[in-house]
Amino acid sequence: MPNSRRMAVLPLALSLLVPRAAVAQDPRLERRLDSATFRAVSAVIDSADRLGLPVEAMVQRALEGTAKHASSAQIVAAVRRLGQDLGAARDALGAASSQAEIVAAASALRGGVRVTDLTRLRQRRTQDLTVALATLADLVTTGVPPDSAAAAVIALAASARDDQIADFRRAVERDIALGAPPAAATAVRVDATLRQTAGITSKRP
Amino acid sequence: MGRSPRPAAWVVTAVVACSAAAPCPLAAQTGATMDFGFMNVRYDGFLPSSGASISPEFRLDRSHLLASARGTYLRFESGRHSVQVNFAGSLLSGPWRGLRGELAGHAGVSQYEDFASFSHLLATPRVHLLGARLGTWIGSTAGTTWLGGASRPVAAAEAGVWMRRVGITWLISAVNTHVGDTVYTDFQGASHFRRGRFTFDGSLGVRAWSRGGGHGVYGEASGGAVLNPWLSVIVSGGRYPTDPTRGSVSGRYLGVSLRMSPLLHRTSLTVPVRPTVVAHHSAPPDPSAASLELRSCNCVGVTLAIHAPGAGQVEVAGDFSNWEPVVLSRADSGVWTVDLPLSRGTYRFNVRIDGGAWLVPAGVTGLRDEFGGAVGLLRVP
Repeated sequence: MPNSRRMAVLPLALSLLVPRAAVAQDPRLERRLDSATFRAVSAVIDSADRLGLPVEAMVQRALEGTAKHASSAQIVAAVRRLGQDLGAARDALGAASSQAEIVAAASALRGGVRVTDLTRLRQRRTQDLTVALATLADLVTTGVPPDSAAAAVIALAASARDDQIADFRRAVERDIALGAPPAAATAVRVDATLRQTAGITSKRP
Repeated sequence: MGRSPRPAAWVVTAVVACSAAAPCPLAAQTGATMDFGFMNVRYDGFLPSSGASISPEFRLDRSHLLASARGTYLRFESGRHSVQVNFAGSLLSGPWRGLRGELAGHAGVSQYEDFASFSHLLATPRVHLLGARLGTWIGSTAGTTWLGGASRPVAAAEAGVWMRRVGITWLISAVNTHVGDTVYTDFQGASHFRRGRFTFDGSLGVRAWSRGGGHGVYGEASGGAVLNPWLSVIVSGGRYPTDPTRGSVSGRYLGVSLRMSPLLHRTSLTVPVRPTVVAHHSAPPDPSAASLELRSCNCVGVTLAIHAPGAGQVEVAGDFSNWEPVVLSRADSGVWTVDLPLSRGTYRFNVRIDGGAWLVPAGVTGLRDEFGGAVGLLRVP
């Protein structure tokens, strides 16, 4: 983990490690987790909630774990990791970020994108980042190297509209499905999208 | 990307061209050629682009051994380039009661700019039933394709029939190909005609039952003329399908090339062994795996359709259901559906067949979950 990301995560990680009285008494969790797991997960979620993080994703992660008959330790660890990712994402994007932005950024971080790339993305784009961040997360999950994916989305961030970024993602995924190397597909498609945003219609190989 | 368009290369395996009853006309062709080409190509999803190519080739054709090595350097008008190198070879058994065995091998690498390269290594045993004017064959392919350091298994099964009528050789083939989780079937017809110094090759194919390999009709044609013993000209064009093994994206092209044959006794317009009729495949899919399709519905949300033939019960669970299993309804043959009130976004989910393990259906991006398994990402556009 890069130092910058480690520093950003540290305060939240400490807060998540410290048990607190569980105030997040989510009935879904209470009904489906055993009492010990419920208390531990609720404490983590409560800490995240106090920090203003979007906790619904953490609830869903705990429910996913119990649906898959994961151990208590696995569930608590998964929820805690997600909380740390959400905290790092919020720190990178800024306190004014929306919950959807933070959740998408956390997915990107889990995929290997660097905190500094999220910060650069925020600096490059004044509009809502949800689509750009979701695209970034999707690209890394489809096999595009995180550095390439981040470079592409950051390049698009300044000038491309959300619909153009979504089209870019679809084009890359289609190319990959048709056999194109993920990095090559990303590079070619980002070039084409940038040309489109610049009013240049040519997208030649 | 990076596939250089080539003349319609219907050329069957040499065995098909050489019947058991007649001497193989290719047996005398040994030597080297150099093609200088200019073409306009339009890869699917891209604007047309012109390009120039140079393709050296070495061939060794004997009655029991066929081998070729071909390289292509293609430079687009944008200044970008691609490089391909391919090797092909076939060992042929002697005819026995009209049968002939063949063991073919193919290896190659292609690279577009400095991106990760594709490479492949394939082996194809075939059995030919040969007559003077009619023949048939069956075969299979096994091998591996690599993208950078990541490999995918390739497997294929093929069958075909060829015949000679009124001086034209006709061929029909069917090839089912698996490359990793990409699956498709090509049905192709091809013809080959040679009269004096002129040669014509044409092919028409359909790709069907495809998952990840594209669909549709494609075809290529080329005509060539021998200008003198060491120089010929070839005009070619058409549409070709995606080749996941070699990493080429489907596209259309029109090109002209000059073929120099300084080391040949005579120029050959026959495009070297291209296992067009061969499929390159990967391992068969896990029979327990289901495939998923999102359909629009007359509801608020989407219809989730899961193809799981043989299943007695299909369930889905995800962020959209608080990870409570939702039982799907059996629709038509092997398809199970459920309407879900999902808005645009990405959801984590899994599918379960007959109460088994939670799995990620084919056609869906999967991630390692944090519970020792995998989770799928369902994207609702």
